[in-house]
Amino acid sequence: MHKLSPTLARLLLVLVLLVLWEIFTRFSSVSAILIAPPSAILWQMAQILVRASNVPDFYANAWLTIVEILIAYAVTAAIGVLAGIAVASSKVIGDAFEPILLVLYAVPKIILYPVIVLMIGTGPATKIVFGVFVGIFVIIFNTAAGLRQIEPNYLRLAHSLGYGGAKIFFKVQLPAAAQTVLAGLRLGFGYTIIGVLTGELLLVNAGLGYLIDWASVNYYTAQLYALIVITLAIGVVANYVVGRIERHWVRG
Amino acid sequence: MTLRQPKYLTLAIRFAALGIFLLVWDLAVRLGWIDPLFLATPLDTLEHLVPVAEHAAPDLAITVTTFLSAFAAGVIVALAIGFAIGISHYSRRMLLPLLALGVTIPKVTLLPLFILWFGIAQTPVIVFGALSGFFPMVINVMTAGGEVKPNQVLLAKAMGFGPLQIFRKVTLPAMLPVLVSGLFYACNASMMGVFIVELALARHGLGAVVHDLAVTFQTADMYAAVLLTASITAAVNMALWYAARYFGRWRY
Amino acid sequence: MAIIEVTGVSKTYHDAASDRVIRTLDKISLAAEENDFLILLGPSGCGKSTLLNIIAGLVPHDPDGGRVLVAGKPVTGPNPKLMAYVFQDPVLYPWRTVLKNVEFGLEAQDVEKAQRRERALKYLRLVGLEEFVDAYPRQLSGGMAQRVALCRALALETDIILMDEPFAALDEQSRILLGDELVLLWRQVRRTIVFVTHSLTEAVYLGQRIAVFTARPGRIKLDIANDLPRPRAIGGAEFNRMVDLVWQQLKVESQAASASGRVAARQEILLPKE
Repeated sequence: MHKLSPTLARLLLVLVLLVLWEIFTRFSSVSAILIAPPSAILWQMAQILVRASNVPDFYANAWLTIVEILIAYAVTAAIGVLAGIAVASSKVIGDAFEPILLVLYAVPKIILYPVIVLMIGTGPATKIVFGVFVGIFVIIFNTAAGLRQIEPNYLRLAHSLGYGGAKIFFKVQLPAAAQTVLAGLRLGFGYTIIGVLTGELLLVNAGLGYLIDWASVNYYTAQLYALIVITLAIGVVANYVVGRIERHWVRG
Repeated sequence: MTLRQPKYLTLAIRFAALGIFLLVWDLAVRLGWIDPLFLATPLDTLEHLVPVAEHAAPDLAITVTTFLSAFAAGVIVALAIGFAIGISHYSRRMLLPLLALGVTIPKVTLLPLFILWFGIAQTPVIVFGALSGFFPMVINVMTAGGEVKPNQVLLAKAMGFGPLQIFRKVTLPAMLPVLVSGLFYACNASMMGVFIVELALARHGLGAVVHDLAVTFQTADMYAAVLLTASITAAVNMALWYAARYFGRWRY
Repeated sequence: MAIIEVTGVSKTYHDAASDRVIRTLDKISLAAEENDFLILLGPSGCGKSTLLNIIAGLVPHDPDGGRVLVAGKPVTGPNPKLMAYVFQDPVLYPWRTVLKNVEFGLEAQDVEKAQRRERALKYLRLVGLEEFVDAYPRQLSGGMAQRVALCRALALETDIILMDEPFAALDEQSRILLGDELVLLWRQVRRTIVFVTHSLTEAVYLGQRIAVFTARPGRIKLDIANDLPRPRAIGGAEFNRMVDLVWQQLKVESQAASASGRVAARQEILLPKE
């Protein structure tokens, strides 16, 4: 049994589950509204991707969601890293803001959601802002931690070689902290996606959230499952890609 | 660790930051930068705090019981499954990536499915909350087993302890910090899950209260409700965070 | 009367990595008298740690007729009332204070709470660590941690103490100092010590009897009494003579062990702090 590599075993497990799901759906008396067999779901997914399904404007909506995620992440990463640098650069500022950040972190961001909707409305900007809120903390924390934990010997060496402030920052501090910072950026991406998608699914007026809601209120069950799988797949693939980028950069 | 000599400076900065924040907030409404329909002044919010708390008390009770059930369910199932899987290295390696996937995917995407399956009473709220808390907890339970070093068990055997005693005196204390930290993440995730569904369904609980106040533009009340919810959740989260730190104090 | 008697004991095991059957010990025979300070000395992989584990009851020997008797009775498992074991890695439980770590073994023996504390304190005082009773292991240096492990073994107040390269991970000064302390304690409390090491100097410095192992599969090549008067002077003429004598026998085995290129089995070099 142990000759089977874990990866293969995992694949087999998933396949077995899919087969069981298929059999269960086809032969049980559970309503077709509640559950669709994997074969139908896969068929719908194919249909959606070639625009042959009745899902309205799939690519336009999907693209909207993706753009929201990308903009949200760009903002989150930029502000997050800068804020992290600010917190790490001055001991006083860092100490002052640490508890404040901690408390903000302890509030589940979803609670601030109605506030944001109230102030910014129901357009894509809200979802972007929400993505930023959810993703920014881990980036700030990791950036600050990474910069603070640099071996003091690195800095001493740089000083002894005559390097000034800015040079030290780019040549010594940034590379040394890179691993932690990049890890934070990777986690932040995942959180940003969650933030944006939460917004989309609560404000079901545009993007993938709109499509999912459309499928659910019209009881197009296969389409619903298909759209959910596509959305999750986008999230999984995006996380995976970012993970690979991170590993590549950390090694180099 | 750090000499808090400029302690006054740190406190001063904190107060200054908070002061500026409140000032800008207040001015934003008074000077009309933001329509008072969308934002209430800090003072107004505080004034409405107590009446809103009284009014929302029954919903608060519902949310609390829902959260506790969801959290307990998620944690108990995570402990059972996590221990079962954690026993064998093989099953752990095989299933860990799959379960880790469960943490990073935006589970909110499944919300319409949950509503489809479980209706719009409190059931989907509990199930979604439990699921949200389950994944981070099960990962921690599975990896907690790795905290026990084989030499530590061998020593206990050499001392003549039986298997039950070894579990109580060696395995459990070694695993405790990771388990408690898992509770922290699970609590956070469960809270968010519960609130998201309450917000989406807008029928019972704090999420529903906030939603209703927002759509009826009872602005000051809504901000008060948000403040109330934020304070409670932040308090619970911070308590758990300090608990996790306390249980891990022998590590660092 | 010999308190430990090993007769014709063998140990083979199946190495999963190379899929071979490896014979670690080959009909080895050895005896330790009461109040002995017996050194098990040999090259890497010769099975000295394995033999110690067999005596301790942590590992079974091959059932082909060999016999291990401790205090006249055969060994069937760990016997903490009779034998205390000290690993190379101190293995202190990081969530327990120093005091609670020393008390650990006593908890298995239904010793009363107050008595446990008294005994633990007594031995901690003996090694000079009474100020650290409430410290956590992470706050201790390697040498201090190993002292605590030693106290834990002593607190069991067993007749026999088995030690598996306990000082190997420490720096040289600590090794010498702790060695001195160990000998002092041994003379004070009159126990039988069986001490595994691969260091020639340590063997001659500490031991009352030295058993030199052959390369794997292990047998006893030389069993020699070390009557040098204490305190022993490392580098002194008498000391060097003894070292030469032992080295004669050990050298051949060490060369055999390294020439065959066999990787030491289960040689866990554990860092003192984990």
